[in-house]
Amino acid sequence: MTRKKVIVITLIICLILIVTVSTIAWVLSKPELDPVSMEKNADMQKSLEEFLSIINKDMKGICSLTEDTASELSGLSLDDPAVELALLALHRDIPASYETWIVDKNNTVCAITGPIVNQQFIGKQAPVNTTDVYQQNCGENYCAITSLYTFRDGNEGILILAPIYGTDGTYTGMLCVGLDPAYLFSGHVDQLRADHGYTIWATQPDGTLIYYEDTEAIGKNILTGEIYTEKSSHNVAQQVTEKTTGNASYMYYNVGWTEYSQINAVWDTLTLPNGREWRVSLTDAVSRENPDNSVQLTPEYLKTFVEKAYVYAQTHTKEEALRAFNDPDGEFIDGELYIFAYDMNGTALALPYQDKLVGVNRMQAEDIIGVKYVERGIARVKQGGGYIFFQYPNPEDDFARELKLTYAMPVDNDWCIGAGFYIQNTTLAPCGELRDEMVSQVRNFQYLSKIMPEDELISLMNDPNSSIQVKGLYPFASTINGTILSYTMDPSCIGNNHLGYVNSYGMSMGREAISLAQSGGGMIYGLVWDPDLQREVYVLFYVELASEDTYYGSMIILGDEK
Amino acid sequence: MTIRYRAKENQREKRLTMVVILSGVILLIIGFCVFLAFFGTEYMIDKSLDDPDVLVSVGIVGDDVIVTVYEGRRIDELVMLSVEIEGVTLPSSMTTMPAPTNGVGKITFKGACAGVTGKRDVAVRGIFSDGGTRMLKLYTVTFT
Repeated sequence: MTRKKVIVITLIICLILIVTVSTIAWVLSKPELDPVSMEKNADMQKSLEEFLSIINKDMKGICSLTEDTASELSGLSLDDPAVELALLALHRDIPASYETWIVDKNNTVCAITGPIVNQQFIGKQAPVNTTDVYQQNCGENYCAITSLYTFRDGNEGILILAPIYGTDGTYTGMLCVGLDPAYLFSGHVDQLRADHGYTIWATQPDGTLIYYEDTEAIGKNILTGEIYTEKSSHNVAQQVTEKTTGNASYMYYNVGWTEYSQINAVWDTLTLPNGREWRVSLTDAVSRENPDNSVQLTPEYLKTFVEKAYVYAQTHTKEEALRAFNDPDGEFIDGELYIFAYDMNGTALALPYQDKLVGVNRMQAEDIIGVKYVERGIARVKQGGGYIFFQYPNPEDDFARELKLTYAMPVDNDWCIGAGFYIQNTTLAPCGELRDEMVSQVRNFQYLSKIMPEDELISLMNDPNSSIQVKGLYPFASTINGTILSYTMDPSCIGNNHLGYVNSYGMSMGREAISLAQSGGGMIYGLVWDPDLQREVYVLFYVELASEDTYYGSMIILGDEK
Repeated sequence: MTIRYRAKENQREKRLTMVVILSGVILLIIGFCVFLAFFGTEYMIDKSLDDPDVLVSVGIVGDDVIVTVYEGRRIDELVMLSVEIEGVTLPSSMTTMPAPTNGVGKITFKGACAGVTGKRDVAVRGIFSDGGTRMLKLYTVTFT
């Protein structure tokens, strides 16, 4: 054998080896999808059907309420005081509504609910031509339901429209409801998770997400979004948009974006009263309930960790500090603790494990209950910093939603830093239905404040046997300066100023509630003293500003002791 | 006569010129002082905060203002800390406290922000052993 032949044969063998090794490596790296058992598929299908019937019932109820209110308003002059009351009642009866408003036949806003700042829109043109939008979306129904729409404040939502006619049958205006799909789904998804261990995502037939547990994904398109390009997930996205029903498995990032895992899905189509379709997919992408055996950190340790980063940020340039905080192998990683940074407008500056979110404005990000945790965290920072709670997927516990304690503080007037850890043994009971009742109760106070003197309403709130009380809810009212007008959990506090009252984490729930009310209202977690149980309890409360001087609120005990 | 008259004229012109020059100088000095008052103070505060002698943070816990002292090249010289809240007048016993004994640590100004609402500037000053005072932190706090 000549030397030349030996070289050629050696080269061929090397080439074959390289091809074989590459093929084996490719096959091994290619994610294999395990088949789903018939039983599991049937169980998922059954859970989806139950879920769909709940959402269907909710949407029918919302349309029916909107139509009834529009009928009530027929024949009324739009400056009649009854119009405002009807709007407040509708806002109260649809807890998932951002706001309700009426435009006249010239498309000028003539009445509106929601945050007090909304009153500035009265007398102004509506941002869309409501009659055109109605024509395009009513189908054969009286009530129109639009596709996903971006509201003035940047929130994504759905418009429900119903025309108002005069006694002679002429068109006089349009009743509009801004619906929050995240709120509509989230309470039921929370319950579904707890009862069956499944979660939900929902899209329009064009692929636009109308609900996803990570609310920041709402409005993105699963067909075109760059994060859905993996072959199996893109296939499922195509199937979901093309077929009205089906089941499939796909590989997708886990919640923490650290690895792919198999997700099994079944989907079906929900046909809304106006004929619009939503594809609702049920998946098993939830916690497998691995016990978290990590060591429980202390709030003091957390605070010290953040303060160490504060000193670093103060003694280095902002660029140097952010580089250090964004480094997943850097000195500001300590077990489950890591430093995040935001500017005061909610734009992420440092997130070492979610670098895709750096530069993204997350002010509207909500947890599964609807608490805007970035907004509330920044509000806390503007108070000088401190602890806050919210629910977040725990990577140490298979991304189960758990209560997280966060400590955040300002670096200067422009940006802030923080870190957090999961509080062990604090599984919060799902509270979807009670949450709806809580929101409705507070909005009912708004309604009642228009038809009775405030002191009479406060007396009703303070009376444990009055008709406005709801089992499991603890209403309260306070002046904007912190004087308690009503507090059913502990009536002995009435008349006191509660700005100085702090819980064991140094949180003044009074200051938090005022801050929340002034930012337009909403929900937040807290820890308050329960005089009956003689200990602090985790609560979820909802507040709305009632006037320039007063706010109303209500709260639910989340059923877990500290 | 003519010469005397001319001499008188010159004297008046000189006086007028002197008055104009003096007024100009006084105006310049006043202008410079006003400039210093507006921009110099801000510059001094910025410089002071850019490179603080002692690094602190300020926070609110209920009705109390908490100042935490971390580190700094003049930490050993820090004798007292004082807190000022925009629009709030408090007795000095509530707004001035001795520095932490070991240099670093937490100082609580009890009740310093009781009943305070809205958005206000909060300033922390350090008083040093040489009698000097320096602004250590200026932060806009949204109390509610």
